Amino acid sequence: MKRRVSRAPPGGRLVPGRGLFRKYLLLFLSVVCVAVVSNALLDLHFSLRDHRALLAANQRLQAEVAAGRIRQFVGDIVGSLSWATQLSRTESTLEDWQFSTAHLFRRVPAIAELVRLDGAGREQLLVSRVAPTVIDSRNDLSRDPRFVGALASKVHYGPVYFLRETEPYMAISVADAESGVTIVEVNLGFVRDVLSQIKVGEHGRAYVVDSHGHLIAHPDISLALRNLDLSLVEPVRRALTPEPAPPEPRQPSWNAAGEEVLTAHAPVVPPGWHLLIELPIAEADAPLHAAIERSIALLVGVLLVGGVASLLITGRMMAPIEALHDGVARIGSGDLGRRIVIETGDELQALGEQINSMASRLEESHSSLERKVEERTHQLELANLAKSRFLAAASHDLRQPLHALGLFVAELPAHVRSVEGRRIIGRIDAAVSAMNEMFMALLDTSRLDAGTYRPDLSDFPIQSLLGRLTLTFTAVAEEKGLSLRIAPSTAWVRSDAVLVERILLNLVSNALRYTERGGVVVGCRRRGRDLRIEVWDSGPGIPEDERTRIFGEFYQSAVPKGGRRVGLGLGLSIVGRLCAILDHPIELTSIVGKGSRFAIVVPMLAEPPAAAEAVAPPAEIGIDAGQLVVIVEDDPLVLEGMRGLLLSWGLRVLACRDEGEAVAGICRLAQPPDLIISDYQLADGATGIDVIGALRRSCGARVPAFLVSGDISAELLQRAGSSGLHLLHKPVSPMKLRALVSRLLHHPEAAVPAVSTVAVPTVL
Amino acid sequence: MAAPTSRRSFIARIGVTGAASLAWPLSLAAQQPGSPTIGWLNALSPPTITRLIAAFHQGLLEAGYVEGKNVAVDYRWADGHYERLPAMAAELVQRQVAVLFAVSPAAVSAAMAATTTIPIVFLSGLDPVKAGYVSQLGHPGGNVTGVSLITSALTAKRVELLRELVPTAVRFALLVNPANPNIRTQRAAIESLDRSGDRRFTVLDAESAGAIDAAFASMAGLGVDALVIGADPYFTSRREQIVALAARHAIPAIYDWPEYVVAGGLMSYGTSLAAAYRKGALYIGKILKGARPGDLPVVQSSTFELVINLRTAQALGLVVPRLLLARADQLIR
Repeated sequence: MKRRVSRAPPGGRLVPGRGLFRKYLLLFLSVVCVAVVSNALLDLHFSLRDHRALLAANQRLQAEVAAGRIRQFVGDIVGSLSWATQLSRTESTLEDWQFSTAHLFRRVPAIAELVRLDGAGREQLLVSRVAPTVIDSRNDLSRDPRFVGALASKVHYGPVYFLRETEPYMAISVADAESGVTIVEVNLGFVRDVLSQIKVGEHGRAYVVDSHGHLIAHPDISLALRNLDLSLVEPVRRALTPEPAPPEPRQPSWNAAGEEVLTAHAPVVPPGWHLLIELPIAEADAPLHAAIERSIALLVGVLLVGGVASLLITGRMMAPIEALHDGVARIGSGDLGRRIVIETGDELQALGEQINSMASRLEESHSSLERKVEERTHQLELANLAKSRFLAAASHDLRQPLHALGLFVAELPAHVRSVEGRRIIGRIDAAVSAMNEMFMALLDTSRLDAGTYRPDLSDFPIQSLLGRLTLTFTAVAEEKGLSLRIAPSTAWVRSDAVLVERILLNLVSNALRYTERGGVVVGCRRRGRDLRIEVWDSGPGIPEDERTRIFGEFYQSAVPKGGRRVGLGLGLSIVGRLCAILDHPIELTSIVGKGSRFAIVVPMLAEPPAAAEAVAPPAEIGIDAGQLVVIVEDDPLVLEGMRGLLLSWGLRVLACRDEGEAVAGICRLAQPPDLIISDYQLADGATGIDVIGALRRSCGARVPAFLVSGDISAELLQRAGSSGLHLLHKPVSPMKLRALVSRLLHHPEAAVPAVSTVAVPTVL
Repeated sequence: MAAPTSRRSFIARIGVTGAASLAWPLSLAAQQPGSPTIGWLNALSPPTITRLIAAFHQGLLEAGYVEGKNVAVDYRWADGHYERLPAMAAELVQRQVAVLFAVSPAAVSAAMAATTTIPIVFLSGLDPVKAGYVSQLGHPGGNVTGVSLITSALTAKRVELLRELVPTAVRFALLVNPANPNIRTQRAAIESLDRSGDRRFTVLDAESAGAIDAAFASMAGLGVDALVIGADPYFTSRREQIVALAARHAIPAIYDWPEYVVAGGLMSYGTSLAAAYRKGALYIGKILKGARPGDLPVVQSSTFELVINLRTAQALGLVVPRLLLARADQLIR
């Protein structure tokens, strides 16, 4: 039997399998079948045996009876003959003989001719039914076997002979005590009349053969008149065999006509003939066939009833099992409140109750587990929050020295003239940049985790980002000897421009970082209503098993030989998080040794807005020497650094620790400053916004100003935004500082740019 | 054909429901389409042999056939006009009957002349081998088989029986039909008896009613003491006339069939014609079922009957001897 395992459908609930049902059904059915079929077969076997045995006995009896009739036929002739001879014995006149012959002829139509011989074997009288009577011909028949035989054994039966080859005849001669021998020729055709009265079934027949197997009489006249030699036909041969054939088993045989028949035989003695009875096997077995048909009908009926009963019993048996199955499946799939109801009062009910109690215990432990998980989750959340707080606090404290370091390094070249010194400065600068970069990335990751980012969606041309990518990375690529091709695109997308830029920056920077030869290609493809931005590289590729991990934190591909570790491995992790925030799918295709392709899918505008203006990259602006810049900064180190840097750019600098110093300084110089740079978080709880406001008031002019802060909270950003002041986050790169300073000095009234553009470092 | 009608009436009788399935086997009772036809070629006329026709039907029934149901019989009666037989035989052959049943030597000759392929079952008093019907009795071989009647061969026996009744008779007459091919056998039998001394035999021919009258008239002139009527179907059909003439001329006569004696004839001795008709029908049945006539042995009649009409004997002033009474199978008083 094929076992079928029930499978959980997608919904998760198990359906009860029908395997057991089938198994039981088949079991019951086979039990019923085996019982019924074997009963029927045994029944048939015995009835076949009984039937054949009965048939054989019946046929033997029939043969005996029929043989008796033939004997009687012959005996009647002999009896009549004896009677006739005895009648005439006393007087023995010819006339008496004729009389008794006349009587004999009338009594026995089978007698065709009578010959009366005297004691010496001379013919006294010959009476025939056809020829005229011959009286006293004195023909000598003393050597005739009929005469000799009769004298020897009183009654003599001659051999069967066929008159004119058709009619079987036989001579019977009887010797009487004194006067001689009487011979009659008997037409054995009359035996047929006897045979025709013997009924053997519907199509069966009885026939007689002589001692040599020649057919004497047969109900079929055409067979009887042919002098047929049947001694080689199986039933006749068997009948002629001297030893009696064993009565069992009786096998059917073939008769002269080629029919398959059951035969029986009995001797006819005298005159030494054999009577055979044959019944066509088809007729003999007809009752048997009827019995078989009945048995089959009965069998089918019983099987049907048995089948239905099996179905019912199996159904009854299976109902509680299915209830168990269903219940367990539901409990297993999480429905712990489920209880199994079985009212059979047996082991199955007990099993159901056990499962129920198990389910309740499971339910209890499950709910306690859930509570624990909840607690742990809460604890984890708290821990994470603590981490974020620590990072925020640490960042603020770390920013100040980093910021100062940057400023000092930037100032240093102005004081170092030796080539070796400048080379060292270059190294220091690179190290500081890398440190800044990593620091920012670390901070960003923590901020992304804190979930404080809200994407700010707008429509913008993708080309603006692509242009900046070109600007940012051309030099890097050239330095590494790689080609960088960024294909222009006119598409407009709807997304958060800043976040998309960060994604692309990370991807391209990553690609350039890991690619040793060849190059990087950035291109856009329109895919229906989306734009697919792809970044191809010819780097080492990412093995299949690592692809899911690359978006995790601190993942780095295997370091190529002779290479070095670059960055913290946070880049792709940030990309992954940003894409998740923006709900932009990111795809990765990679062949190890050939390269990788990252692609992000961004919703695209069907039509670019009509007033699409090209975004011109900001021009590099110089700084006019001698302009006055006021710096308010409570950290002396940072203040010193800023002052040194600005001085190195040829500016005049008024470095102040607080608002008071600044107001005093301005008054001393009797000249309004051209630019105010203030730290946001000053001593004594004062803010940069307050200080700038106060200074502007004291100068009586709206002097250009911007804020610098180590605080990266969103709250500060908001405040800076609402005050209309630029905000740079520490550590500020000297380049960026110079760019903002020069711009504000040239365009004092320049509008406040989007806060985030300065709030978020461009390279993570 | 009767079949459709019968089937319809049957259906009407038992109703429509379920009739279709039962109709077929029961409709066997009606004449089946394409059932075989027996060509009946007989020298006599129907009223003279009603008993024999019944025996024929009995034989058919034993063989499994019923006229009008599963077998048809195309009857041709010559009414004693043997010259009509060849045309009738040819007609039956042309109709492609399945088997020919020819009764009397003249009919057998006509049938054998008409076909050598259609099976012929004969009833004839002639020796079948000598008459050329078959080459051997046990295995005829050709398209002809049948029942050999042993009647002409009984002429001598009839003379003997007639003499027992009329011991004083010296002059015997034999009336034969010259149209019957058996005439030679009968003459030969008479001629062999003629040589035995104290009896005289005269053979008289008659092939028509007038000739029969004339023959009887001449018998009176010849002083005939006793008469043997030759075996002949025509005579059988004219038995009333013959018996009446014999009575009128007070001539004791012996006949071949009991029909004469029933009609008032003195005595008859012969085989059983009815048995012969039955056996012939049985053979026809076998042939219709596919047996080849050449394989069917010729049947010889084996039952002999002696019938005496005691009233006629008394009218003729004859005393029936004890021996004859003892031998008679039937006595008509």
